[in-house]
Order: sequence, then C-alpha cells, then structure tokens
Amino acid sequence: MNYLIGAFKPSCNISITFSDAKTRKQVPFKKENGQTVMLPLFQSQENIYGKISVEPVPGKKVEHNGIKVELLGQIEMYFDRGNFYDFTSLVRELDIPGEIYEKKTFPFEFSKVEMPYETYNGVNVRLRYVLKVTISRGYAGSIVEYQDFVVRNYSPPPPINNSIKMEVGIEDCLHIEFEYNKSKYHLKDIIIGKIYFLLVRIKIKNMDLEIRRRESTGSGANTHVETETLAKFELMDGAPVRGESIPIRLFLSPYELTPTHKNINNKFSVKYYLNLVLVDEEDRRYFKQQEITIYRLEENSSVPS
Amino acid sequence: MVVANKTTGQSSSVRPNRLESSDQLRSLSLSLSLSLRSIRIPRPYTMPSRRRTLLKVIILGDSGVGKTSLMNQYPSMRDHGESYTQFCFLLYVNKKFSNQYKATIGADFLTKEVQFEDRLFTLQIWDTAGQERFQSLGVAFYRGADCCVLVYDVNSMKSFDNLNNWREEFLIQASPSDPENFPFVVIGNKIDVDGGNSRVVSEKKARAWCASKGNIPYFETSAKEGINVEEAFQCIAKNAVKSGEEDEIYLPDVIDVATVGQTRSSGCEC
Amino acid sequence: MMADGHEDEEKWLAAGIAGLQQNAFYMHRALDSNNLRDALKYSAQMLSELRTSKLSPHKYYELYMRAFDELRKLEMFFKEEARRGCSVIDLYELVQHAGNILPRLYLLCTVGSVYIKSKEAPAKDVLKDLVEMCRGIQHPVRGLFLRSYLSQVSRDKLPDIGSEYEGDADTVTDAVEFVLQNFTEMNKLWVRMQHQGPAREKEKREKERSELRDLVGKNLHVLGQIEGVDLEMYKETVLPRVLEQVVNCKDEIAQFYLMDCIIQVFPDEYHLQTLDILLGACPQLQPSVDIKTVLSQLMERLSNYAASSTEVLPEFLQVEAFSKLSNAIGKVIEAQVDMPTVGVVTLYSSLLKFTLHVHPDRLDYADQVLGACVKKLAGKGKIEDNKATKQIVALLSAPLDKYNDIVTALKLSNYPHVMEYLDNETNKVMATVIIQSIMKNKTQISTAEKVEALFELIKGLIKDLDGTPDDEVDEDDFKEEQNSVARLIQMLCNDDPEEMFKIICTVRKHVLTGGPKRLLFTVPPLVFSSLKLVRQLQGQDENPFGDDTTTPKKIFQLLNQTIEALSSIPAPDLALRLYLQCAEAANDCELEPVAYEFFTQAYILYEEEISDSKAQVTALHLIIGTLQRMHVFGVENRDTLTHKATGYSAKLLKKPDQCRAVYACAHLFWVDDQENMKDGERVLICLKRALRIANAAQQMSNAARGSTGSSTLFVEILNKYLYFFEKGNPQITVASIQSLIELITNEMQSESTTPDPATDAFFASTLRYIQFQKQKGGAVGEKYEPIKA
Repeated sequence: MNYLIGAFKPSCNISITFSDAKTRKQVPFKKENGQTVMLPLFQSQENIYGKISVEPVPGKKVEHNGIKVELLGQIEMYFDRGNFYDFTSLVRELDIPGEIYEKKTFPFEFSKVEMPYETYNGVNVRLRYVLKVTISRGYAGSIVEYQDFVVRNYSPPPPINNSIKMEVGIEDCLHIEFEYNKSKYHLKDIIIGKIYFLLVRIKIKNMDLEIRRRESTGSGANTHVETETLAKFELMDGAPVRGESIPIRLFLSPYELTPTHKNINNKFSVKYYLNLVLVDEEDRRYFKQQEITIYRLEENSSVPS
Repeated sequence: MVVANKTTGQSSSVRPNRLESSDQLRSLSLSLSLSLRSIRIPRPYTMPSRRRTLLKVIILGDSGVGKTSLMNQYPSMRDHGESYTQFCFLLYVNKKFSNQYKATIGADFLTKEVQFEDRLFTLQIWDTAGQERFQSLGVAFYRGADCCVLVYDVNSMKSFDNLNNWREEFLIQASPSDPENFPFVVIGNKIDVDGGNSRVVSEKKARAWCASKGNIPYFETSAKEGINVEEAFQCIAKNAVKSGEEDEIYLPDVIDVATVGQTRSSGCEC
Repeated sequence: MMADGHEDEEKWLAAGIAGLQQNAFYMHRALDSNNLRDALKYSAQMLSELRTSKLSPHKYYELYMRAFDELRKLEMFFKEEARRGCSVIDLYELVQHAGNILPRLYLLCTVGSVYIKSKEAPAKDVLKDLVEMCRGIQHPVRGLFLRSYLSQVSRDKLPDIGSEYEGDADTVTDAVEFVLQNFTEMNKLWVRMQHQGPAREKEKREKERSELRDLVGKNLHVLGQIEGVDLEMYKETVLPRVLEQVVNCKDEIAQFYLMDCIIQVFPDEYHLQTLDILLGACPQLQPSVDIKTVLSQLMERLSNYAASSTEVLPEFLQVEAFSKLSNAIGKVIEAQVDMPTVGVVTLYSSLLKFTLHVHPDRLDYADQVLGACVKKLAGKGKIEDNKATKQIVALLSAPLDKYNDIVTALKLSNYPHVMEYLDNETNKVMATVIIQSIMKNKTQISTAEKVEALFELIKGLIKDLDGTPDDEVDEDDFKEEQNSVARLIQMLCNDDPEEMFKIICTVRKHVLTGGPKRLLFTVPPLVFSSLKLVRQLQGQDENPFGDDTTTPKKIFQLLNQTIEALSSIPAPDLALRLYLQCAEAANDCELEPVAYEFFTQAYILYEEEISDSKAQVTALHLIIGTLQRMHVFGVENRDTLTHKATGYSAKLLKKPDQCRAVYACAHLFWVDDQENMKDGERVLICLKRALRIANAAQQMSNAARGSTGSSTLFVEILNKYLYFFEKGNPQITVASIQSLIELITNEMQSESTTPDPATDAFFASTLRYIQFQKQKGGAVGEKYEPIKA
C-alpha cells in the first residue's frame, strides 16, 4: 500500500494553531476511534483566533483555487451516519487562488462566536465543534484539515432551585416520602436528601438511587430514545420499618455527566433522572423516577446551599 | 427536612492525585510474596509495613479486679522525651479514678501510642467483660493478640485462682502459633486497699505461679494510686513488640497477574 | 438439618474469610505502595464480605473482627496520608463514592475517626454525620455490627471532659447525644429482629438476639465511662433517655437485658440518687419481663455498696432508699398481676437483704418487709411451687445470716406468719436452718418467752403438722432432724433457775405434743436438761420464799410425769434408764421418798414392761449399779429394794445371767465408804448362791451337750471373792479362796471339760494377779501370802 499512500499523500501539511494554546485549558475528549485526546476548551462568545500554516512538501508546489477556514458546529446522528447538520457555520477566506511554493502562514479570527450548544458525545448523537481548512483545487480534489475543539458553557447557579419532595406508594403496601434537596444540580454537586418510610408492608431487601440519562434523538416517528444508567448507588441495606428515615448523600463528581440538554436544535435532547429503586425479597422492583437538571456551574461562583 | 452536610458540602478542592503507582514496585513485592508462602519470617526479611507497628493487647481477669481502671490509668504517650513525665502527670490529674464498680460490656479497646527503641507503636489495649453474661458474642477479638495481660485482685483469692482458667481459655480461643512462648503479663491489682491489710494473695504465691507458667512477668499495681501501672504497661508493650515481630503473612491461592493489572486499570469502585 | 446448617455456615465463613484475606492482601500492597485508589478499591471489596446474610451473629463476629483488624491498618494509612498533607475532608468524600453502602459506611467511619483526630472539624459534627449516615443499614445484624464499629472507633474520640477533643461547654452533651443516638438506633435494630422471619424460627432468632445483645449494651458501657457524665447529667439526660428507649421498645428481651446493663454499668451512687427514675420505669415494662431479677440485682448491688463502707450509709438514708424500693416492689407486684409467687418472694427476699445491710438497726423495716410479703401471700394457701418455697427459705434465712442470732429474728413478728405459707416439708427445712443457725452461733435462748416463739417457728419438727404423721419421711432424715431438735433442747439454758424452769416447762409442753416417734428423741434431752437444773439447785438452801419457787421436788415431779409420757410409745428400757437417772439425782438431793418413788417406777417397768431376757439383764444391771450408789435410803427402804433386786436376779432366764446378776448383787451389801453398809455375811451368801448357780449351769450344759461348759463363771466368782477379800470382808477366808482355786483347777483338768482358751487365760491372769499381790509385800502381800496358787 505504500505506493498508494505515496500517491495520495497530500502534497502539503496544514497546521492549525490557536494563539492562546499555551494558556488555554485543555480537556480530554474521546474521539470516534475510542482514543482520548486533549483538546482546547472554549465557551460561547469567545474569540477564536490563531494561525494556519500551509507547507508544501519540499520540491512541490500547491496550486489552489482559494483557501478558507470554517468554524462549524455540527450535529451527527449515528443512524444517519455521514450526514452532518451544521447549526453554526462561519467562514473566513484566507487566500485567493494561486500557488504556494513554500510555507505560508495565515492568521484567522472568529470574534465573539455564538456557540450555544456544548460539545456532546452520546450514544446516538454527537455534537462537535471543528475548524475546517479547505484548500480548493480543481481536478485533484480539495485538501482538507480539521481541528476539533471543545465547547462548554457555564451557567450561574439557578435563581430558583426548589427541592423535590414527593410522597409515593402502593396502597396498603408501601408509602414513602422522599426528598432531594434541589431540582438542579451542577456537575460536581452533591445530592442530599432522605427517604422517609410511612408504611412498610413488604420486606424490602435494599434500595438504590440511580442516575439515568435519557438521550432522545430525531423527531416524530424517527425518535430514538436511549436510556443509560450512569450510577447505581446503594442507599439502604435491609428492611426498614415504619418511621425510619434514610439519608441520601450522593456525590456527582465520580460520574461522567453532562449538563441537561433541552431540545438541541430540534435534533436531540439529553435529560437526567434520579431513579429511586426499592427491591423486595422476591426481587420485585419498585421505583420512582424524577427528572433533575444538570448544569455546568461557573467556576468560582458559589452555590447557595 | 434536608440532611445537613456541613462537613463535606463545601469541598471543592482537588482530590489527592495518587491514582498512578509504580508498577515496578508492585511486581517486586508480588514476586517476593510468591516465594514466601505463608511462612513465618522474622522482621528483617519482611517488606516494610505499617501493620507491624500495631500491637494488640488483651486484658483478662475476673469481674471487679480493675481491668478497666488499669486501662484508663495508663497514660498515652504522644509526647515523649523530657516532657513525658509532665504529660503523664497531667493525665493522672485529669482522669479521675472511680472507686466504684462499673461493669464492662463486651470488649472495649483504647489505643495508646508508645515509643520503644526509637520506634513508635500503636498499642491496642482490649478491656474485656469479666462477667460472662456480658460476653455474649464470644471472644473472636482474641485473635491476633500480641500479648495477654492477666489481672487479679490481691484481695481476692478467687480472682487469683481463676488466672489459670483465663490463661487456658485464652490459649484455646486465641490459638497462638506458639502457645508455650506466648507472652503473658500478670498484674496483681488493688494493693492499696485497706493499706494492704485485706490482702489475701501473697506476692510470693503469685510469683511462684508466674514462675511455674514459664516465668510470666509479674507486677503489683494500684490503678487507684497509679502505682506501677506505667512499669507494667512498659513491660506489656515490650513483650508485645517482640511477639509482633513474627507474624503470619497471608498469600492468596492464585495470583493472576493479568487480572491484577486489568482491575487496576479499570479504576476503583468508588 | 441442624448439622447441615452448621456445616454450611462453616463453609460460608471460610469462604468469607478467604475473600476477605485476598482483598486485604491487595489492600496491603496498595498501602505499601501508597496507592490510595487501589487501597480504597480493595478495602471496599474486602468489606463487601460483610454483606453476607448467611452467618449467625457468632460467625459474623469472627468475620467482622478480621475486617476490623484490617481496617486498623487502613486507618493508620489514612492518618499518615493526613500527616503528609492530604486533606482528610477529601478522603472523607472520596470513600463516599463507593457504590455499596456497607463498605462505604465502614470506610466512612474509619476516615471519620481520622477526621476527628485531625481536628479539621469539630468532633461532634463528624460524629453526628456518621451516626446519621449509618441509618442506611437497616439489616439488623449488619446494622448492629456497623454501629458497633462506629461506637468502637469513636470510643476514644468522644468530646469528653479532659479529652483532647473537648470542645465548648456542651462538649459532654455532644458525646452523650452521639452515644444515645447510636444506642437508640441499635436497640431498634435489635428489637426489630424479633419480628422478622418466620414464626417457627422464633427460638433461633432469640438465640441470635441473645448473642447480639452486648453490641447494644456496649453503648451503655460507653456512657458509663464518659467522664463528664456527672450525676446531674445522668439524672437529667442519660438515664431518662435510656429508660425512654427501654420502655418504649416494648420488647421483653431488650428490657430485661438493658435494665441489667443499666444497673451494672453505672456507679452505685448514681443509682441511689436516681432511684425514683429507675424504679419508676419498672412497672412500665412488659409483664413478661423478669423484673424480679432486675430489681434483685439492683438491690444486691446496693447492698454490696452499703456493706463496702459505713461512710456511704448516710446516702441511703438521705434518699430514703428503703421506702422507695419498698414502694417500687409493691407497685411492680401490683402491676404484674400474673407474677408467680416465686417472683414475689424473690423480690421481698432481696429487699430484706438490702434493708438488713443498710439498716441493720431498723428491725422494724425488716419486719415491714416480711409483713408486706405475708400480705401478698395471703389467700394463696400453702405454697406448692418448689422454687417459691426455696425463696421463702432464703428470705427467712436472711435475718439469721445477718444477725447470726435467732433471738433478733424472733423479734420479727411477721417471721412466723411467713413460715405459715411453707408446706410441711419446707417448713421442716426452714426449722432445720434455724436450729443450725443456733448451733453454729451458739446462740443463747434464755427466756421462756423466746423459747415459746422459737418452738412455734420450728413446730414442723416438733410435731406432725395437720395432726397426721407423714409416713413417707425417710428414717435417716427423721433421725437427723430429731437429733437436731435434741441438740437444740440442750442449748436452751438460763442461769436463773426460775426462768430455766419455765423454759423446761415450755419445752416440755411442745415436746409432749410430738407423738411417740419424736418422744424417743426429745424426752431424754429434756430430762437431762431438767436434771442439770436440779444439780444447780441441789446445793442451795431450800425454798426461802415459799412454794412458788422452783425446787428440786417440783422438778422431779415434772420429770416423773415427763418420763411417764414414754409409756405411750412404749419405751420401757429408755424410761427405766431415765427413772434411774432421776433416782440418782434425787439421792444427791437427799430426797429419799422421791428417789424411792423413781425406783418403784423403774421396778414396775422392769416387772411389767421389760420381757426380753437380754433387756432384762441390761436393765437389772443398771438397777443394781444405781442402787449400789444410793445412800439416801434408810435401812428399810434399802432392804426392800435390794431384796427385790436379788429376787429379780435369781429369776433371770439363763443360768449364767442369774449367776452374774447374783454376784453383782453382792455389791449391794458392801459399799466402800459407808460403814453401815458392810454386811459381809450377805455378801458371802450372794457369792455362794452364785457358785451354786454356776455349778448348776455347768451341769445343765453337761447334760445338754455331754460335756461340761466352760469354767468362766467360776473364774468370775473367784475374782469377786478376791475383791471382797481385799476389801476386808471377814467372811471371805483364805480357805474359801483356796478351795475355789482348786475347784477351778480340777474342773479345767477334767477330761470332760471343753477346752476354752479364753477361760484359761482369764484364770491364769487371775492367778498371776494373786502372785503379784503377794509380791507387793506390806499389808496386801501379807494378806495374800497364805493363798497357794
């Protein structure tokens, strides 16, 4: 295959660098092939600028019909592979058609870019941000280079964050009242709460709190819903009696959560649920699911407790 | 009602970053352990381990001989050197001696740090119920003891006569690997009572018994007056240290190196 | 099934231990290489072994202890981490990431202990958090062990007075609050066990609960050890809170055990000062709770406390311990309608012991206790329950043990009333106990009044209760008890003759109701006791105050009637002996008619009642012996009596007996120190008659067996001759002795005589005696000189 690679070897190297690469925070990102790489991290309204250099293979020239850089926000559905939907597309022309004989560097800048959605890597859907450099050529096809980057958007603590409190049960069998201290949690938050047993007529074996993620893609008849259990956290071991209250303290930091995404461009949504599961001695499961909102808290902002 | 979470709620600082470890060191200790299957090895050949510095001492004796008082009167030695005497004194003042009998239920221990030959040891002193009805779960805690202290009341012949039972019971239940040489220490307590006038077990008799059981070190103490308690525990600690130097080392039946490596990389349960 | 279950359990335990050891091994390696993440992972896996439901508490404890030991190593590692600057707060969070709750909470408690030690947070906050989080374990066994772990690791970190974790003013309150909460939760888990699982496994469950109880009780021990729990706090917080839990849990096993714990782990002075509270809880316990044991243990403790030093006694008075206990017992008995008699008596027995220790001078208290007991027993009739009667014996023995003196007990007016409730058998046992106490302590019972009271108490031994003799009594037992009564009678004495006489009359009155079987045992000591009084009076002047005073005569009169009572048995041998004893005493008192009367009685018995030949021989020799010693008789009386005696002698059944009795009678005519009583001739007559009888005896035997009998009788008579010869009886001559010797020698050489070595030896030694006397020389020697042997 060497000759093939040689044959299709691009006649030039394109490199994309961010101007603040040295100071910018990098975060791990799992690529399609499973590899984890470190990528620069941005948030909406930031300026994205840097340099793109094109360096022809020594002794060759690059003849082109123009060079451009695009900033793309794309949504990719896995069942519709290869079809990207660009919800953001910005273009900067870098060079007019011509020929390049030696390394040539082009600065670029996208100012105050609106990037409303976070990078997301789900089961059936992926949302990514990428810089795409295209050297257009007529007959030989274009030379393209990509540079991914990650976008995370931070939220201030929500002004209203009510607790979730509910009494549920099966008549004459099991009545419980549970309470989670908030309805909105940030990614490193702690779920604190308790379960109060009002009536227990079954022999409970244990009780877990699960964190479930519900990823919904597509719309209408093509809706795909994927639910994952990200955490299974045992809250109670054994059979309580009436009047017992069991504390909940679940640290969210060990789990790989994302913020809740509500209707991203009519393409997909990601929601989180707390699922309280009681299992009785005959392994029957009794559960109650409650949606919670996960958000990414601005660093250095304090959370009202 | 929300469960308050004062102690942990605000913690946002970085977690200890100790997730990686030296693979070299791991494989070294593994091969070493494999070559030494469950054999007793004297200290210099064992890997340096913190478990060697923990010593377990069991105090046994009849109800009311003063086991709890002895344990309570033994000062801990967090500070050593010259300030030590001073510290000791303070504790005696602080810990009020209670003349009155209070039964012990189950087994109870306190830990004390002791210095011995420039090394710091944690002494885990187990006080036990003298009354059988308060020992309902049995004596599984005897296991792994490094020294056993037998206490009697010099004013009670019965408590002295029972030392033999306590000793034998201990040897049966704890089943130390070398019962002949297991370190015991005998304490005759309450020498202060009635100025010694109500004493019924003579020192001679007690010493003779100790001699007959393999020269068990013997001390006469008064937990109330703090007489000889320190000396007795120094001896106990010394004997425990000696005994603790030899220890069984557990080795799992099969060590699957691959599995070990794999589980390691898959991260911890928490 | 059971055996299989046991084997399986061993297997499960072994598997648990193996799993635990394996993970511990990897944990150690992680610790040695400072790999925190792996250390947590393997420790969590190790602790997962404790999630088992298959082990009984005992076995689970073994597994737990191994995990416990391993966790100490982890704890030391955490400490080192903290020392190296790792934030304990972070560690505290990190361990909470564990998905399984049981390992998570064990780890949390372990880090919590280090957290407190680091002092990065107030001890009370950490403790509060831990005790709260442990609620997640609702499984009784696992929960109890987890909380016991919490209790143990926090044990030396409680914010106590003088502890390095001492905080602000509320320090001790925080510690107490923590322990109380843990205690409450543990008790709830423990009690809950009773109601989980199928009904058929109740017994197994109760056994398991019993094994687990110390985990719960341990909390009370911890409370007892907290220095800062002073009386005030104990009274205001600790005790009421603990009792609240005890009462509200409504569980029999828990209530009984925890009450016992409370009593044992807290000091006596606290109990004294909080008696109201503690006792107030008792009637609120379940009716099935063995409250009597609980209260008894309390009273026993307090009794020991009182006995330990007189200095503490004022405390008891100050808090009116007696009346409080007394009231409480009353209430408990009222509340527990179904309490068996044994319970009631046990309670009063303990209370009695208590008051005897605490108020030795307040006999009225002791009597009150007995009175209260009587009230509760009233209407129940004789108590049949074995255990209950045993308790009554214990109750009644308590005052005896305390005072070592029945006299004091006799002052307790309710004492005999309690005895009323004993069945006959136990009544006797109690009576024996009383007598033994008297014997042991050599108690002087010196007034008729006390004797009366005493005999009222021991009447079970004195007569057949209900009037019917109990045929089932073991002969030996009967002898033993009657012997003890006999010994008791001998113990009763007073130096004042008047009072002593009254005592005798009292004893007599009771003894005579005893029926034939008892009289045999009781009359002799009574007679001798009376004779002792007679001896005492005998030297004194006669009757200076008229007829009311006690005189030997009066006593003899009484004796006469007393001995007569034996005729109902009948026991003529005994009666005869006693008459003779009396006669001898009367002799010493110079009361001839009285002595004569007694002899007459003896003779009548001899003639009319004693028919057995052997008995006759014995009786006759007694008569002869006694009569020989009598000096009070005038010639006439003496002759009459002597005449009769010799007459009886001759009428004995067998010749040898006749012979011996007759030569014994010789003594009646020769009394050494009385010159008027030396009738040599009649002595000789007796001896000659004896010889004749001996001769006849030999011939009879010759006729019967074809050979002459032994010559023993002759040798015996020879000895009598020698006796009187030596005493100087002029009728006994050398010649008569000489001829007797020859007679015997001939007899013995005769071919027809059966050889008899004993007689030969007897004769030989008699001859040697003669030889010996000869050689003595002097008057005796001279006297013997003529005899040729």
